[in-house]
Amino acid sequence: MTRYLLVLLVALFVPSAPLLAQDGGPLRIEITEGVIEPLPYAVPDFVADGVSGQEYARQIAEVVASDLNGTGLFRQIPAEAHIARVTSFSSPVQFSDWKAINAQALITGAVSVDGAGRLVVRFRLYDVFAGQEIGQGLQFVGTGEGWRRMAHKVADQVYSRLTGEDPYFDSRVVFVAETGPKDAREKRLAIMDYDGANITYLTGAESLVLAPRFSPTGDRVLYTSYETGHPRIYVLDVASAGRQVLETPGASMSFSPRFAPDGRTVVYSLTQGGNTDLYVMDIASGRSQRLTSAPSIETAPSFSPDGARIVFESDRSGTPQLYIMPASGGEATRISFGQGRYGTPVWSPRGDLVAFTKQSKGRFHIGVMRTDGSEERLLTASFLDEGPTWSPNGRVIMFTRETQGAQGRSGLYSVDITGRNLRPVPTPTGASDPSWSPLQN
Amino acid sequence: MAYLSKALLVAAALALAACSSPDRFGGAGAGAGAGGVAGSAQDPSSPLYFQQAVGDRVLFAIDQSNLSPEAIATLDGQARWLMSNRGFNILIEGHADEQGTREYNLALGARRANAVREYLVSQGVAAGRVDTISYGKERPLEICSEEACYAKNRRAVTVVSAGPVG
Amino acid sequence: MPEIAETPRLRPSPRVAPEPVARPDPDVQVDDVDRAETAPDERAEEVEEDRQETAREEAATEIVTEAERSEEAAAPARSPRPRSRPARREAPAQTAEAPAPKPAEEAAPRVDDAAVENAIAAALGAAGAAVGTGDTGTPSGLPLTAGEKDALRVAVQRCWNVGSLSTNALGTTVVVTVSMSEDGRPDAASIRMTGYSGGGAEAADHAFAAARRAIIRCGAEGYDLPVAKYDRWRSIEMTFNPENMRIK
Repeated sequence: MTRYLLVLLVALFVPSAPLLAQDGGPLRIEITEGVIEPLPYAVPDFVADGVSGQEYARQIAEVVASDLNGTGLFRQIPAEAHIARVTSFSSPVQFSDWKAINAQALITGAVSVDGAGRLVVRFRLYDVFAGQEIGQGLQFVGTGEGWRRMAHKVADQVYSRLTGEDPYFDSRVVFVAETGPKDAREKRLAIMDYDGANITYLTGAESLVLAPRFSPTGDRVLYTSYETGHPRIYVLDVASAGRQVLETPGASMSFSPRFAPDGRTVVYSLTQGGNTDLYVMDIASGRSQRLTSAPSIETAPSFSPDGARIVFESDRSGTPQLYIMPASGGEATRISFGQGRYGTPVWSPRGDLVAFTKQSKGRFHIGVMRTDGSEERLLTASFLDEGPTWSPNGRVIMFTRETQGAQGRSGLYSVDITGRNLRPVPTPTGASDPSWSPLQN
Repeated sequence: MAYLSKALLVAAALALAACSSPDRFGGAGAGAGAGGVAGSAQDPSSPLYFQQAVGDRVLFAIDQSNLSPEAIATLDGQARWLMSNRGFNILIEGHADEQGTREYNLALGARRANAVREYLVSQGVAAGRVDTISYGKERPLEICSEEACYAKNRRAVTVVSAGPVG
Repeated sequence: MPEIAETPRLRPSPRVAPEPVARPDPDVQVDDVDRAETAPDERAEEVEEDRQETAREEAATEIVTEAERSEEAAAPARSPRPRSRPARREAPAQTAEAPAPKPAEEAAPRVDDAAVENAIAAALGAAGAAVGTGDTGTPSGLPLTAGEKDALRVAVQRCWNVGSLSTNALGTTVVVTVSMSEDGRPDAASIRMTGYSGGGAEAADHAFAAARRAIIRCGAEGYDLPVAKYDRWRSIEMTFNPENMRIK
């Protein structure tokens, strides 16, 4: 009511409002609210230079789109909606054609086969509304069989230039492929591209295998196998699939191995007399050193990226919780204080976060927290989620989700660290225990 | 003697396979092809008798590895049987239900197996006859996702096998 | 009796926007800016594709993770703030076969906040200066009212999409200047970053690119700015501060 009065009142003054003298500078406004939605982009089929490049031109554009779409950060504008065609890689882009369909980024590319039979893939990326190219056009040269990797590299460039994140598409995942019923499950080690393509099995189904982990360069995999009857740690060479047991002190059970960032040291759990503690081993000499000596369970260790500290899981307080200690052992600091049980901590490659499994009120969650335990955030919730692994750039987490009941099945899922874009990772059989490789060279 | 024990074992293995709730993965030597009818559950020195009459498994509360009075009664029977059947060694398998992470459950299963081991040794069973292994949550006996199944999966199973000097 | 507003339950949505937007009809093409459907014989001389009537994509006001969604009785951590109404410049929608998309805001009878603020600002301006000088004043001398500035801010933020930015870029505030033409359109080539804080140069570049896209896209048909006050907005400095967006 008073408002209307005021309107009337001030209306009287308006006609006589005087010229205000200050003429200083631009109009200033502050924008603090925006939208969070996938960025619309277009990637028309790459231009084939010559017949031999044709079969790859469409497929490469498809894989690039699949990578970008899979992040949840981008939305592809389908080719049917395009009103322009790109028929030449070198011709100038008509930005108005792409503005008209609201494509904010445009990727153009060309594929050819050179005199030596090698595949040559070129691309350019444009900011349509600014009417500018983003970064320099690039070209990749490789073998025909390597076309998917070249597509991933193109997508990595685009992703990186548009978001500012480090790339991650040209990477692999080692995991446990699962077949058979829940009470007699067969488990094999398998490796695939991060998107589920190019799967290869690394072990047979004769013995149970668990929880593989990539080396810092992706050349080797640590895992636990029942090959000798008892759980033992193995190291496997990815190129040859050759494997070797890592001898640990005592005759009991060793498991939960992880590489240190130097690739020469392994931290693992060793169980003696029913008690499980953490040890480190120098792979070359085979010498082990004990890091913890508590009557509680200490397992699921993970090095910080600088190798100085280890985050691990311990039930020394009565329930499983997360702790951080120096890499040489010594006093551990508890970092998890929420309600519930915490396990499988994994240090982010950026160093600032720890991903974990949390069990609370009968549900499992994948979550992240800062390394001091603050800012805990749960990203998922289901009957059984566990075992997070980080994408090489620390933006995405992959994990195991198992469904409930007698017909329960394990599969891989990924989720953005914002909690968005939860999606299954396709695998031909059941799958568990993913470990994401570093970016390939 | 060694031959006899092995024959017994083979018979036991076959009987186990026919049993309504067999331990499908623990039986050492299971899978041998020879036939036989000796060593029935009525034979007090047979592994089948151990499994069915004495009781080959003890159950645990959630997250626990301490032995309940029922478990101790079962283990007392196991110890007596082992003391009078010295030709057999045992492998104690520790298991967990599916409500836990894989590696933690592996350690928890080892803790349970060790609790059984320590009790049997305290009752006079020679430590050299006892081996332990943990399967964590990898080998559930019951596959439903309810407490009724979980309770049966949180177990330590004593698997009898022929001793090396039987 | 205290008034209890019923808080809309947040459902996860791939789009997060400051104002919740109701689910668009499924056969309406998803786009960014609400547009009216073009009438076939209107502006006949202009060659224009038949545009589908579009509605802004369904949006939640924050990211709802699966974990948060599953908390049964959980109320949203923050409720959507009421927003001042942006000034609309679009023509009323023409009759269409498809039902019109639900408007983003209720078409309830309303106080025209912008007009109120306009008047208040004018009054304050008047009060702050000598009254009765006899100067009739030139309209260009008047500063933009809070309502006019707010309308511009709301118009730009509708296109400020931070959804594809890196975590670092989302922690970077950028200050951007733009020259405007008199019809309210930004001069794309004039857009410059004049400062940044909170992140490194690379993060700032990405944050700037998102800011530039926002200014150009939502200004494509001209911002609704009072021509009479052109001198006041021929140059605009916009600070894009993503702090509120980071934890969404």
